[in-house]
This record gives sequence, structure tokens and C-alpha cells, in this order.
Amino acid sequence: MEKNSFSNKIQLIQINKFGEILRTDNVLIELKIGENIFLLHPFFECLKDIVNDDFNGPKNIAFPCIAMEINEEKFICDITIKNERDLFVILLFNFSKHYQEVHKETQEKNRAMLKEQSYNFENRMKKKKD
Amino acid sequence: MNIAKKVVLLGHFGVGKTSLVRRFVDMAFSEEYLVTMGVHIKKKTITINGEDISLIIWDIEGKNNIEEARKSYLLGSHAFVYVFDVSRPETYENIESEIDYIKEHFNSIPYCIVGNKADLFTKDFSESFFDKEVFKNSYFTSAKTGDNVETMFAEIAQKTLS
Ligand SMILES: Nc1nc2c(ncn2[C@@H]2O[C@H](COP(=O)(O)OP(=O)(O)OP(=O)(O)O)[C@@H](O)[C@H]2O)c(=O)[nH]1
Ligand SMILES: [Mg+2]
Repeated sequence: MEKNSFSNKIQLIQINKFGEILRTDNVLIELKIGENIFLLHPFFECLKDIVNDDFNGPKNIAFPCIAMEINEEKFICDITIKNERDLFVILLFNFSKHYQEVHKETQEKNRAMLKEQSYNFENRMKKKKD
Repeated sequence: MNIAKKVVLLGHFGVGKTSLVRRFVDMAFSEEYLVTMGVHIKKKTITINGEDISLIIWDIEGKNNIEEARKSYLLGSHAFVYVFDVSRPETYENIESEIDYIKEHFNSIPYCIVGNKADLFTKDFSESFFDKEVFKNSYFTSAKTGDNVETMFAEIAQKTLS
């Protein structure tokens, strides 16, 4: 993974349990203080359950490789949620470039395997017919 | 009141998870195979018994075993849709152990099994081929024609309410 200019790839957002944004450095996504993060994208809407008082899962949760489109811009981020008493810190790591590289490889591999397996299916169907 | 339910699509690569979501949410289909990296999350609101329910659908990258899936993706899930490809035995050979895994680790969470690409059925190869116990109550869908897709999502949504 690229190490240079690392800091301009991470956005730090602080929210309360109602999803209100209390702090944001807007490195990747332009957000406003007081805005509700649950409304930003369905990924964040799912955090409702995690920042809830009843949630008894881990205090820090890492979500790798989340594809998002926000304000017509596409990202692939690793997202970490940290529970710090009544507040929550969300860290967005923009790894789009890295994931795009991995994607190319997987795409090639999977497409070839799918083609082969579909070919096998067609053959079996032909045999059945004859 | 707005109810939101997280539904995670599971299954091997290329079985049509993304295509099912695209059919359901955007009413579209593409023959082109574009591998999903990580997860894409889509939302659609439907009405069940006069009540609005938002399905937040997690379309995750294909894995041959649920165990290989990233654990945080499954966190807080309200339902699972396990998709296989009717034309590729590779995608349902281990389905029993996959379902056992769901039952064991997500005991009270509803799930359903979906045989997709049902448009590939022929006179000699049809639903009746899938007569093993595990396939009982499975849905057979086609993201290509749209067959059974809405029904499947509506019924799994219904299950999250009870
Ligand atoms: N004939 C037919 N083809 C389908 C159907 N659904 C999907 N496909 C094709 O199958 C291929 C894979 O579809 P995807 O929806 O990308 O599969 P996926 O499960 O999301 O794959 P991963 O993201 O790699 O896990 C594509 O070429 C689709 O056009 C279907 O119902 N019928
Ligand atoms: Mg996909």
C-alpha cells in the first residue's frame, strides 16, 4: 500500500449516538458540523445499530473495502469506528487506488473461471439432449 | 416510523448477487460481469402490510465459504440471502455446510436460499433437479428476466419483521 501522502487520505469524523457530526476535517468528503451522517449513505445508516446504547459488540470495528459514491465521487475506503465513551470516531481511509489494482486481478481470474464453468454447463446440456 | 433492515447477500463469485440487487433496485440487467470488491451497499424501500421498510442490501464480494467473508460485513444483519448459480455445481456443492454455518453463528436470523440464473433451465434440467432436503423452500430467480426477484426480496423482508 502506498505510504506517501498518507495523511491526506484519511478523514476523521466525530459523531454522537444520534449520528450528528461534531467534528470533521473534510479531507475526502465535504461535510458540515451538525449534519446527520446516517443520511449520507446507507453504509452510515447501518451504524445506527452500532452506536446504539444496546449494542454489545466490540468497541472498535474495522470495515475493510467499502465502495461508496458520495457527491458523485467514487471511493473505496477502509472504515474504522471507535467508541470513545458517548462519542464515536469514524476514520475513513481512502484506499481506492490500491483496491482498483486488486480488482483488475480478481476480475481477470474470476471471469476466466466463470467462462470455463459456463462452458461445462453448456456441454452437459448438449449431452443430455443427445 | 421508518424501519431499516440490513440484508446481506452471500454466495460464491459470479452467481448473480450484484445482478439481483441491480434488478431489484434499478430494474436493470447487464450480461457484463463486473466483480464486486469488498461490498456495495444499496437501499430500497418497500411496503409490507401498509408499512414502509427500507432494505439496506449489502452486496458483498463472492466467497466460496462464508467463513472467508469479512466478519464486520455480517455484523448487525437482519437477514441473509444465500445465492447459488443453478448452472454451476461448484456454487452449491458445499451449500449444506454453508447453511449450517449460518444456523450456528446467526441462530435467530432469518435466511433464504436462492438458485439464480433460472432462465437457464431447460426441458431436461429444471427446479426438480434440486430435490435434496437443503433446497426445500429455495427460490429460483432470474436477475436476467426478473423472475421471482421481487417476491424473494419481499418475503425475506417480511421474515425480518416477525
Ligand atoms: N443467464 C443469467 N445470467 C446471469 C443472471 N444473473 C447474473 N448473470 C450473469 O452472471 C455474471 C455474474 O453476475 P454478478 O451479478 O456480477 O455476480 P456476483 O455474484 O455479484 O459476482 P461477485 O461480485 O464476483 O461475487 C454476469 O455476467 C451476469 O450477467 C441470471 O439470472 N441469468
Ligand atoms: Mg457482485
